[in-house]
Amino acid sequence: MKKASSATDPLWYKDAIIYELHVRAFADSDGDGIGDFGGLLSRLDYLQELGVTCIWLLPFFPSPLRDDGYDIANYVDVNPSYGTIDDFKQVLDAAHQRGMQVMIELVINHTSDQHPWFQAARLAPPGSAERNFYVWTDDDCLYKDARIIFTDTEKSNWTWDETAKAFYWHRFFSHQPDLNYDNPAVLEEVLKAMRFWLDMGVDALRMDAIPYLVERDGTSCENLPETHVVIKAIRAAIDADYANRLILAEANQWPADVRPYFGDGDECHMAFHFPLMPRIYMALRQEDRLPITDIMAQTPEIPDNCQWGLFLRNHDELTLEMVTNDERDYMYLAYSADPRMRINVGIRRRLAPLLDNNRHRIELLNSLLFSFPGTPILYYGDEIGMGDNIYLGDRNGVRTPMQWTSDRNAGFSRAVPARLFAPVIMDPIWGYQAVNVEAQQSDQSSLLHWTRNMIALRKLFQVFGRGTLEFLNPENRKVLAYIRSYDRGDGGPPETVLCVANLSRFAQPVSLDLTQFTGMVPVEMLGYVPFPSITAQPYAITLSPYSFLWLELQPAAEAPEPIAIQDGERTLELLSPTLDGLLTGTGLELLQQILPNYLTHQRWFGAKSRTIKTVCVLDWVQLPNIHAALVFLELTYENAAEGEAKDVYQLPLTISTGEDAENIHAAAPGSIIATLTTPTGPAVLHDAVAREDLRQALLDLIADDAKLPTQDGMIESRKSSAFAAARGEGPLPARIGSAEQSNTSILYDARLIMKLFRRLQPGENPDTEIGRFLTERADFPRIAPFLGDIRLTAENSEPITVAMLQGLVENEGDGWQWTLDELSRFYEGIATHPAPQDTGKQPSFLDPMTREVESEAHKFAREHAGLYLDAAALLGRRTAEMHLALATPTDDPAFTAEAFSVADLEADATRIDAQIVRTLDALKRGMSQLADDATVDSAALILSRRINLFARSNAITASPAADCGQRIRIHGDYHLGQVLRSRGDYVILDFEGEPARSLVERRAKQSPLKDVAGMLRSFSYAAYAGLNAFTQRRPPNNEAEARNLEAWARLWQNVVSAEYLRAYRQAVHVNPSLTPQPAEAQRLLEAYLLEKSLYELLYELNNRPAWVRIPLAGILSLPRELDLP
Amino acid sequence: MASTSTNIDASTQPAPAVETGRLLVSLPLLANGELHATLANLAAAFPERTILVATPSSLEGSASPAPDTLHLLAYTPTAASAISWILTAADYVNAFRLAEENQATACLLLGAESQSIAPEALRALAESVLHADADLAIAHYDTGLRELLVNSGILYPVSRALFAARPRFPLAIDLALSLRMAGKLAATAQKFISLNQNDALIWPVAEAASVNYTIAEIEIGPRTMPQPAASDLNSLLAQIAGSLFAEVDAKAAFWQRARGTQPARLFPLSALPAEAADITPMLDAFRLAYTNLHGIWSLVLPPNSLLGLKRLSIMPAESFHMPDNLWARIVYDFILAYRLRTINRGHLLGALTPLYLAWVASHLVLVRSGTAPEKHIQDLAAAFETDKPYLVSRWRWPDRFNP
Repeated sequence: MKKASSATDPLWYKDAIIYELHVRAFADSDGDGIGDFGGLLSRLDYLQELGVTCIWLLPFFPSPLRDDGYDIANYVDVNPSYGTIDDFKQVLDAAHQRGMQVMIELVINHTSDQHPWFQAARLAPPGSAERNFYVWTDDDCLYKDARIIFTDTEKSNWTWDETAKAFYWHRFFSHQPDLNYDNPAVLEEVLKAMRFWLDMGVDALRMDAIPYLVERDGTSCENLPETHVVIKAIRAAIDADYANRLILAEANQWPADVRPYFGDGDECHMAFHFPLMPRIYMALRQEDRLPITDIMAQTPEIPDNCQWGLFLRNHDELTLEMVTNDERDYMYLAYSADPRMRINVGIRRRLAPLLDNNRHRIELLNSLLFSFPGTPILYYGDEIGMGDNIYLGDRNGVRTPMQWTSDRNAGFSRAVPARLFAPVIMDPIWGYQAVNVEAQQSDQSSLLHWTRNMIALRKLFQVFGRGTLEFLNPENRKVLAYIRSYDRGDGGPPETVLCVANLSRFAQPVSLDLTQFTGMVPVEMLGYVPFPSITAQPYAITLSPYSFLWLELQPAAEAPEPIAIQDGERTLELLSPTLDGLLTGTGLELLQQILPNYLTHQRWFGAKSRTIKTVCVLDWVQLPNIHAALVFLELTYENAAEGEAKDVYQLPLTISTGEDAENIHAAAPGSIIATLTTPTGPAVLHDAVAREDLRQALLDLIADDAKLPTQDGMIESRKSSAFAAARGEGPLPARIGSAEQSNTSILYDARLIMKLFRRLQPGENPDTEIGRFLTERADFPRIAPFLGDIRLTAENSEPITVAMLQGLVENEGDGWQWTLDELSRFYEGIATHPAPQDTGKQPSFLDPMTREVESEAHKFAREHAGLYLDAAALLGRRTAEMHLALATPTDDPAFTAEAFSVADLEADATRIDAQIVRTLDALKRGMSQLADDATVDSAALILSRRINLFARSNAITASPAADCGQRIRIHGDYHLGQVLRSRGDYVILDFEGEPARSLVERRAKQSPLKDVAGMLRSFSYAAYAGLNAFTQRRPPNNEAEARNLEAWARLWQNVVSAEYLRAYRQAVHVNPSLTPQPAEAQRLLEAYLLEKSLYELLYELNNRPAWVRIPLAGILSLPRELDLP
Repeated sequence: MASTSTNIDASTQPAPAVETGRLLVSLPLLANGELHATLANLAAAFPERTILVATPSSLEGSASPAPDTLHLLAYTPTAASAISWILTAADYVNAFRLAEENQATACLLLGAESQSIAPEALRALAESVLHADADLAIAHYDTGLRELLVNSGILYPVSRALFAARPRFPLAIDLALSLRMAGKLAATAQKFISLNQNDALIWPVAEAASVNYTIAEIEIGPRTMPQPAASDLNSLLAQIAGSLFAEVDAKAAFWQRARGTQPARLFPLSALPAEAADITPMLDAFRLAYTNLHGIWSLVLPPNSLLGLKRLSIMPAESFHMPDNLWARIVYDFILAYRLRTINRGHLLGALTPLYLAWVASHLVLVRSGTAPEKHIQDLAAAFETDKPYLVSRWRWPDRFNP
C-alpha cells in the first residue's frame, strides 16, 4: 500500500501555482532576527489567499550557511535557527489543511564540508567505505573537460584537502564536496533521507544540480547516462512506496538536454525551463517576439505526465548560461547598468527592478508566466514588486526579508534591526515603507491584488497547465500571439484560449489569422467581455503599450433545446386536426407562453437585445388542405418606451408526427418550438416553413389568387401577369435559402423565389409595389420579374405584405463582389507602375455629354480597367432605363411623375441639413476614436467647413423648381450590392428603400439623381475597399508606394464614375423633362452626394471606425466652392 | 433521516439472485404505518420487478408482511443525523454502499414522508434511470403559492443559471441514481463525512452537470413535503444558501465554462390565490434592516444595487416591486462575498435574510396583481441567466470599483 499524499490528483503539479520562499527570509516568530517555521505558519493564510497551491521551501537543514543552505550538514533535521522537526510538521499539516502541497530541497549532488560524512571521509584511509562517499583524486587534471560554474570564486573543480592528502571534487563552491554516486552506499543513504521526509508527508522534492551527479573523464561531466540511472532509481523508489509525489529537476541546460531528465515519464515529473526566462526579458527589451518563439521552437515534446517549471525570477541570479555570447552581452547591457548587478554568469536582480518598476511590464511578464505551457513558480516578494540590494554579497541582495508592513523591520521580525540576518530594503522607492503586503492588501489596485486575481483566473482553466501551444505568426513581431487548447475529455468543447501580448512600449495593431476558429466568439477572460465573432477575415486587434489579452474562444451560442410538453391533456388539444386546439383556449395560452424563448433564438428575429414581455396571437389562418396555419404575432418588450409601436411577426406553424417529426428533428432542429409526447409517439410543434407541403401551399395561394378569411381579416393573394410564364409547368420542389437574414427565402427549383417576410409592417411594401409596376405596367426587363404577393388585409387598417414571389435570375454574383474582383486585378496590374500623372476629376452634369477626346486619365484607366469602364457605362444606361420606366405615364397616383416644387426643394434641403447636424455632432464626439492622424486631419477639415456644407444643401433651394426635373418613385437604396451581374448585363434588385427609414419616406417620390448619387458613392467605396484588400495582401513598402496606390484608386473612381454618368445622361435624355437642367442637376447631385456621404460617415463612426476615411474623402472631394452658373 | 454508517442486516431475508437493471430503494427512517404505506406503493409501482428495499426502520412488530416482490434489507444507523427533512451526506454514502454491496445498478433514494409519493411517480423516477439512460432523475414537485420559496428565489435560479441545468428543485429529496451517479455523490459526501460533517448538503444537480451526466426531471405530482427542522428563516438560509454558495465556490471552474440558457418551462396558469398573504412583517423586517444593516450591505453590494434598495425602502407596500435583475445581482454579490470572505460568512448570510424577505414580498405583490407565480419564477430564472456574465466578471476581477 502506497503512502498517500495530500494531493488526490496524480497530475496535481500541472495545475499548481508554486511559491518559492526561504524560511529564513519570510517571517520571524521568535524575534531573533531570523525567519522560522513559526513565522511561516503565521503567514500560510496569506499564501492561501494569494492562490498558492504549492510552497517550495529553500533548504532549511542544518548548515554552515556558506551557500544559503545549499551546503547541507545534516539531511534529516531542521536548522535550529528555523525551529524543530515538530515545527516543520506543524507547517506541513497546516499547509495541507489549506489545500497546499509542500516541496522541499533534495540537494544530493554535494554536501557541506561540515557534513559528518565528509569529515569521516577526510579521516578515513583511501579506498575505505567512508572515503568513498566523495570523489577523490591525486591528479587534479582528471575531468578537466568539466566547466567551472562559479567562475567568480572558483578556479578549479578540485580542491586539495590537507587532512586527506588528496583533491576532492566539487562542481560548485569548494566547501561543497560532491557525493560519489559510483558508490551504491551513497544512493542508499540519500534514499533514506528522502524517505524520512516523504514519510512525514512532504509532497515534492526539488532535486538540486542533478546534471552533475556522476563524473566521467573525457566528458563535460554533465548529463551523463550514469546520472540518469541514479535518477531513475530514485524515481522508482518513490513510485514504489508513495502516491502522487513529485520530483522537480534543476538542470540548467538547453531544452533538448533537459528532455532526458523526464525519461519516458520515469525520471523527473518536472524540470525548469531555464533558457526561456532570459529570452522573455530579451523579447521585452527588444520589442520582438523572436527570442521567445525561437526557444519554444527548440523545446521538445515531453511525456504526458511531465511538465515544465516556468519562472521569471528565483533565489539565484538571472542566469545567462543558456544564451549565446551576443545575447549575454545584450542582456548585461540592457539589464545591468551597474557592474554590481552582475554575478557569475548572470544578473542578481529581482523582477521589479529589472523592469524599472514599470507596472505594465511586470503585469505583461506575469501574464506570459501564467499563460505559457508549464507550471508557474513565483519568487517570494515578487507579488508585491519587492526590490533588491545589490550592495549585499553573493546573491543575498535578492534574499532580503519579506516586507509585510511599514512597521519596524518591515513587519518581518521584532528583533532590533541590527540583529536581522540581512537588512531590510529601505530606499525610498523599494523600501518597506513604500512596498509592503499590508499596504497592498488595502489597495484594491495594487500589484498584489492583480497577482491574486490573475492566479485565481488561471486556476479556473486547466488549459494553462495542461493545454497545447500553437504560436500565431502575425506580421507585427512586436506582438506575441498564441493559442492554448485542452480537451478535458468530459464531452464538452475543448478549452481554447487565445493569448495576445504587446511587447512594445507603444500601442500596436495586429491582424491574426484565426480562420480555424471561424464562427467562434472570443471572450476576454478577465472581464468576461465578448469580442466580435471570428470570421474568415483577418482578426484585427489593437493593443495598448505592454498590454495583453486572454481571450477564451467560445462556440457560438446555440439555440436551447426545444421545450418538451408532457402534459397529456394539453397535447391532445394541440393535436386536433384544425389547429384550433393550438390557437385557442389553453393551447393558445401555452403557445404564447413558450414563444418568447423560441423567437429570441431565431436568426430573423430583429430585437435580440430586448427582452420580450408578451407574445399574443394577433390573427391566424388555417391553410387549405394541410395541417398548418399562418400565425401573426404581436410582441411587446420590457422597458418599452411610452407609446412605442408593437412589433408584428409572422410565424407559420404546424405539428408534425411520426416520420415527419423525425425528419424535422434531423433536417431542421432549429425550427422546433416544442416537442410533444403523444399516445402514438413523439411529435413536434415547429415553424411550418420547414415542411414542403407548407412551401407548396404558399405557392398555390398565389397561383390561385386565393382569398382566405382569417379571424379578423383576409389573406389575399395576387399573381402578376408574368406568373404563368415564369412558373411553367410541372412540380417545383422547394427549399429554404440560406442567405436571407431578416426574412425567409423559399426557392422553388431554379425558377422562383418567395420572400416570406418575418417582421411585418403595415402599408404597401415598396418592393412589391415597384416590382409589380415595373413588371406589369412598364414592362422593364432588367429586374427579377415580380410574380405575385400575399397580403393580410383588415378593415380600418393598411394592408400588410406577408410574402412576395419573384422570378429567380441566373447570375454570376452581385455587382459589389464582381467590382471588387475587377479591382483586385486592376491593383495587381498597376502595382508596379508609377502614379498616373492625371487622375481625372469628379464627373459633372456640366461636362459635355459626349466625349470628343479621351483624357490622359481615361487612357490610363482604359489600359488597366477597360472592361470595367464598359460595364460602368452599361450600368449607367440600365439605371437611366430604370428611371425612365419608373416615370412611365400612369393613372396610379403612387407612380405619377410630378414636377419639383419649391416646397420639395426646401424639404430636401431641410433633410440634408438635419443629416449634416447629426453627422458632424457624431464626428466631433468620435474624433478621439479615429485611427490615424490623416483621418483626424480630414475630420477636422470637414468640421471646419460646416458653413460650407450648409451652403451646399441650401443652394438647391435657389434653383428654379421648374428646372429641377421630375420627382418619381426611385430605387431608394441604390448601390453595387443591389445589382446582379447576369450574362454580361445587370439585373436590379430590392426596391425596399433604406430599411432604417419609415415606409412613408421610402414610398415618397424623389429626384432620380438620388439613385445616381448612391451609385457614384458605391464606386468610391469599391475603389477604397479594393485598395484596402490589396494592401492587406501586399502591404506597400513605403509611403511613396502607398501614395501611388491611392492615386490609382482616385483615377479608377473618377473615370468609372465619369463613364457611368455619361452613359446615364445619354440614355435618360430621351425624356428631357425627367432630369434637371445641367446646372440644377449638378447642384442637386452634389447635395445628394453630400447627404449620402454624411449618412455613410455616421454609419461608419458607429460601426466601422476603420472605414471612416472613405466617406470623409467623399465629402472632401466635393468641390469646395459652389461654382455653378 | 440521515445516518452515518450502514450495518447491513443481511439475515433479514436472503438476497435474491442478481437480475439485469437491479434497483435498490433506500428509504428514510419511517414510522411503521408510513413504512408499510411506502412498501405498498413500491409494490404497486413495480409489480413485475423484484426490488431491494433498504430501510433503517425496524421491521419488528410489523402487522403485515412485505409484498413478495420486495426484498427488505434492514440496516442499523450507527449515528443519527440531526436533520431528517432533507438528504444529507450520510444518506448518499449509505445509499451507495448498499447499492454496491447488493450489486444494484440503480438506486431510488426517497426522502421523509415518502409514503405520500404515488406509485406512478416512483416508477417514473426509477424507469428514467433504468431504461432511459439518465444518471440522475430528480423529482419535480407541485407546490403551493407560498411553499419552497427559498428554492424558487435562490436555489433554482442560481442552479439553473450557473450549472446550466434545468431541474426546478435542485435540492429535491426524491431521486433515482445510476450506480455511477450514486458513486459520484457518495465520493463527494465522503469528504464531508471524513470531516465529521454528516449533515452537509450535497447538490446532485451540480454534481451531475459538472461531469456531464444525463439529468432527467420527473413530475411526481402532489407529495407531502417534510418541514424544515430549523424554525427560523435565518438558520434555514444560513444552512441552505450557505451550502449552495460553498458549492458554487467549489465548482467555479465548471460553471464558468457551462453555457447556454434553458428552454422556457411550462407552468400552470394559476388563478389568484384565495387569500392574499400579509407582507407587512416582511417589509418591516426589510426596512428595519435597511437602517441597521446598510453598513454590511455596503461592503457586499455595488452602488447600483444599493440605490435599488434605497428606492425599495421607501416604496409603498401595495406597489412594492423588486426588479428581477436587482435580486439576481444581490444574490450574485452575496455569493461573491461568500467566496471572498468579505465579512464573516455567518453574518453575511444573516444579512441576506431581510433582502430575501423583500424579494418574497415583491413576489407575493406581483402574484396578487395577476401574474402567475410560476411565470414570475421563470422570468426570475431567466434574469439570473442573463446576468450570469455579471457574476463571472465580478468573480474574475472582484474589484470594488464597479457600477
